[in-house]
Amino acid sequence: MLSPKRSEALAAYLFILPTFIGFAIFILYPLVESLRISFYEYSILGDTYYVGLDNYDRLLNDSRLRTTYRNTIVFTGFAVFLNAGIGLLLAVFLNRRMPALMRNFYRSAFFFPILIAHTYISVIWRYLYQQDTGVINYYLALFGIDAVPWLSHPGWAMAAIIIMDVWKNTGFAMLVFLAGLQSIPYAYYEAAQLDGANERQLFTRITIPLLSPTIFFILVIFMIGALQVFDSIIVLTQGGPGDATRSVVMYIYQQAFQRLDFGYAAAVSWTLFLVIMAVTLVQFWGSRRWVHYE
Amino acid sequence: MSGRISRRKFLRYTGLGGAAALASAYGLPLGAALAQAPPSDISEHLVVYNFGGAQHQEVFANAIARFNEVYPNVTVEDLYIPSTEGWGGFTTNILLRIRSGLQTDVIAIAIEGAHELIASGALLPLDDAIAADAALQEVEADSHPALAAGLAGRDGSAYFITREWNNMIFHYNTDMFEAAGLGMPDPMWTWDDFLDTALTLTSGEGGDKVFGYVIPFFFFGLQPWFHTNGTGVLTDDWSQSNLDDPKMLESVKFIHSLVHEHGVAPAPEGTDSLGLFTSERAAMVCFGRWTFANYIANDFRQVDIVPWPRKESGTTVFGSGGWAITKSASNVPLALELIKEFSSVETDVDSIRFGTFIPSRRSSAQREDFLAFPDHAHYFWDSLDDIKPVPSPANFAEMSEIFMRHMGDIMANIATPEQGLEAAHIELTAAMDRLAERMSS
Repeated sequence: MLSPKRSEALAAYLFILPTFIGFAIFILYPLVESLRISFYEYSILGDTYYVGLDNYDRLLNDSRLRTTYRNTIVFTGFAVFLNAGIGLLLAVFLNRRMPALMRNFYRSAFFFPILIAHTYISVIWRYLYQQDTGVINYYLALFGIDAVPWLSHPGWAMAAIIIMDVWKNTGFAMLVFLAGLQSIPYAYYEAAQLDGANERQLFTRITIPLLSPTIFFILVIFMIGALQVFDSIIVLTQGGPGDATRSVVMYIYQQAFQRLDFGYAAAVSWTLFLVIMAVTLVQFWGSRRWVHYE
Repeated sequence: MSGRISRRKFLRYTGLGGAAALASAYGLPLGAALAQAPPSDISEHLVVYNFGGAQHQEVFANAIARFNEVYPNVTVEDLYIPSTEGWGGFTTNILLRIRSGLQTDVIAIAIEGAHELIASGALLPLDDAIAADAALQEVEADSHPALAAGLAGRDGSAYFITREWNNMIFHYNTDMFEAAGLGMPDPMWTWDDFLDTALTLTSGEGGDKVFGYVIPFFFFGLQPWFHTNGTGVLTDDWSQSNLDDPKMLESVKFIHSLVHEHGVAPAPEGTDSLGLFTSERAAMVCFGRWTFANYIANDFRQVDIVPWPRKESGTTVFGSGGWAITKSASNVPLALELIKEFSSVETDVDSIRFGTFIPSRRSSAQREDFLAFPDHAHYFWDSLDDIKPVPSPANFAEMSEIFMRHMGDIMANIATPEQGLEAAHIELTAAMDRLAERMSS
């Protein structure tokens, strides 16, 4: 007969068992297996050979990997900043008094893109971005602006991907920020206004500090997502022109499933895993200085 | 659908089928096992790994229905794998599927992925089967030798029964040519003639610009610009990079000049060629027959075709599809019977109406309904007389990606043609060396 305490502990373990089994099969095992594969020259149908650290040696001299990391960092920097920034502005705008119909319309409109799969959106934006027949350049031409080579110029192609990403994802940031804003007690604003605080001070001294846990959440989530960007780029530019928009995950995919170099792809995957983990740890460490939970 | 079975089919399906099944089961030579078809009351499940869009699915669903008239107890699972990742991704999917132990009996694939599959050792050689089967011999006899040759293994063995094929050919807008006072291009026209024509057809500026031409900016599409100049991305045996050939540089410079010097074509990366052509913003494009499905569906009839302009020759490129059987197939004789139905005249006729492919049978390509549109549809089949297969070594995905990535750099002026081709040559040489090492081991 188990003691009540042990019985309670057993029940707790049983409750988390299904989740743990799923985690072990779909996360833990692939993680360990990918680490193992990274030490092999791995063939789909033929023999595999243990090559030690050879795949990791190759990382150091791979100029394309450096390019894809640079692209990913540029994308992540702009996408996270713009998604969080515009999402916050939209949330503040929608948190004001306005007719319910209008408020609901705007919330739905801004959130709607998040419901559509990246692939569909990318196909549509690919048409919008056409240099000679695209809608965007058509309207730019009405203002006398020359056709922008959205997809055929290295700089513009990255900009095109970032714009599309912000259009799609900023609605999610807006929704989360809106929930955060509405959880801030109105009494704080009233008290500050009685003390003579102006709009800017209300925003910087009350809204931002009390919204900091939400901002932190958005930054972590968007940073992790942006570092793994793949599907929107593969449809929109296929990583081109050249390697100008190729992300690290695209490069991993290419190494594994086009070159069948699974060992090297696994090694690159581990570098990305470590980068994401490091960035997230730095974010958590830094958050102690600016995130206020009370 | 008619339930009647032709006499030939009846004889084919109902002969000494049991003997064939037994021979197969007891490991007798494939040719002997396939001399006769399995009995029509056999129960089996076949898995087909297929490619193509909704129209293909309809064509092959009809073929399976005809097959089931003879083999009512055989279920056929026709799996369609999107090829958005290109043939490399498609091939990898198949290899992963086989490695995972999932049943895969019949595989349809294009030449771009065929040699990777052959090199993997996953496919059954079909020489004995073809030698022992009059119906398969008839399929090959009605085809063109170039199509089977492109799909043959490097050892000369046959691993595929020819499916449909496509080439690259010039499509031009007859209305725009007429409006510009131009007649149909001479089938023997040259690069210079082409450039003059493109310049004549290019007009306007900015958002109103109409282009004479759109570059087919995909690996298959670019090949005729090299073939017609007597060169290619790889050496003729597909074993080494040929990008250091001065003729390659000449071809790439010509392609580059169409955008950056003559302004007759838009920057190709990301450009919707078909959209520009069908919206009459471009007078000439290059495709095979696959865009005719779009033309027919949208009643875009002001289009005709003409062979590729010549430099040293008029050699264009083709890619053919094929049907193969895996070594792990659950019932090889039955899988062959299914392939015969997929390669039948009925299937060819069914697919002609959709305008997606060029049939692999000469007799089908000479049918009135195939030749009805465009006016010079006979150029599709005629191109087989001066044609090369798209270079398709076992590392096709890697090889083509390397080339197209550097072409992207060149066309975006990130690199000059000289720099881009030199960098591509170095990278491609290493890739082909790795392939040679892999093949030898």
